[in-house]
Amino acid sequence: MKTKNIFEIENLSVIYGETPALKAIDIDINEKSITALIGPSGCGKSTFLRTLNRMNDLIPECRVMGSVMIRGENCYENGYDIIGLRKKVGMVFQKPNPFPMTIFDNVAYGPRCQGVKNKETLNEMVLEALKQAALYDEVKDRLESSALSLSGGQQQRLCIARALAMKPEVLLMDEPTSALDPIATLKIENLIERLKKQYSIIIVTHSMQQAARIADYTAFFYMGELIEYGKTDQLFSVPKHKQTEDYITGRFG
Amino acid sequence: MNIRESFDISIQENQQLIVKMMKCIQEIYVAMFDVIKSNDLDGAERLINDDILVNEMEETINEQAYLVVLKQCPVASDLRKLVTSIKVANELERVADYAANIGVYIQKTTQNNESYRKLMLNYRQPLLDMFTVLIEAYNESDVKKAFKVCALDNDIDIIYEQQIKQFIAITREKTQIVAEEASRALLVIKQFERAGDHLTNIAEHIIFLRTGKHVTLN
Ligand SMILES: Nc1ncnc2c1ncn2[C@@H]1O[C@H](COP(=O)(O)OP(=O)(O)O)[C@@H](O)[C@H]1O
Ligand SMILES: [Mg+2]
Repeated sequence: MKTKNIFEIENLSVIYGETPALKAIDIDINEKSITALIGPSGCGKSTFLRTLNRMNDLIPECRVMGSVMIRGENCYENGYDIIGLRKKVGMVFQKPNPFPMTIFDNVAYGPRCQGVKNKETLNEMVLEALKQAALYDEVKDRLESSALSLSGGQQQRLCIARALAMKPEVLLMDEPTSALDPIATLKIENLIERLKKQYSIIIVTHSMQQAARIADYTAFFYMGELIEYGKTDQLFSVPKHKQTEDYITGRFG
Repeated sequence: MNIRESFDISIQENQQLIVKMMKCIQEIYVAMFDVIKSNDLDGAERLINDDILVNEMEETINEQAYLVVLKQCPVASDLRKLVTSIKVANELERVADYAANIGVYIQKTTQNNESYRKLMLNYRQPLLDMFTVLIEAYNESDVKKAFKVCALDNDIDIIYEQQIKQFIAITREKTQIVAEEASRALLVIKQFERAGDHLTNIAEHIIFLRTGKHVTLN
């Protein structure tokens, strides 16, 4: 069975000032699946993730070359709708970063910015997003409490709900569980696996076991290069490249 | 710097336990053919008792491998090594069972059956060679040597096919041999044939260890 690609990336290079961070990356990302990005710190995983919704545009000295096709359109073409892109491609960060406002307002923030004013519609969107993020049951009686009163794991799921409220196609996650305890981590992993039925998920993780547990595909980056990319099961059982084997077995460098 | 020093040591220990078990069973097979040759009843008793020792070795390997998997979450070739060690130990345990079975045979057989025993001794060299090559193949994860083990097994299969006919001929010729005696002797050579198969399975595991691909040599 041939799966459809959400992203088709060709010859993608990124430079910060003089320092190259990504070198001629070619990669296709499958829709409605989980793709994990692994590799040592500084290998370019976050940089890569940021090219997918043009968050790198916010870094002054960052230059991006090559093409990032999303659903067949190059999002680096002149005149491409960047606001639309960020709506389509949501992001969740390492540290849960809820806004200092109520739980409800956190999730309603995006839709409100989009101009949704009708109270009922907004209510529906918020509850739907909270349910999808597997947080609803825990917060349904205190939607007006401050988001900062939630535990770390709950805050992270709130951030996922906030991203989902924008009705994205893609969720980018940069080490979303590295600040969480093991149980909160498993909850997020379980959630991510459920979400892949509807969304394409790309996750940076430092936990090899996490990649092995949840990702359908895994990409191994090293010093700005994509060394190996393939089905997770194959990459973790019989990697094709020695560098991959050395990295995943913890015998690097 | 090796940042997984203790992990590497555990894996080496695991591999050494396997090699030790292989060598031990090879020695048991040397003793087994001596017992057949000399109809040594005490030796037969020792073959039966040695089986307990081998079972313990299998247990030790299993426990060690489970603990390393538990503690180290191995992947890729590390995981293959550990999973394979459990399978190899299991195959070896079966191979040792056959030696114990033959100990029982020697104890139960009463008649002078010189001609059968002569035929049985034909398996000595190919089986002992299989062990030697297998130990090398395992130590060096050498795919070529693993295939050589399989070639030796083919020799055993040929001897086995020929001998079934010879056994029947001998049984017809010497009418004083009772049916029970003849059947027991036939079962003995079947054990050798099976031992060859299990050693070949180990060769398959060695190929998997090295390449990550399952092959069928039997
Ligand atoms: N904002 C930035 N300004 C300058 N250099 C950066 C910036 N962000 C990342 N880099 C550099 O780019 C390389 C890749 O970094 P990054 O994408 O953060 O890697 P990873 O996420 O794999 O740890 C590193 O050498 C890093 O120092
Ligand atoms: Mg990063």
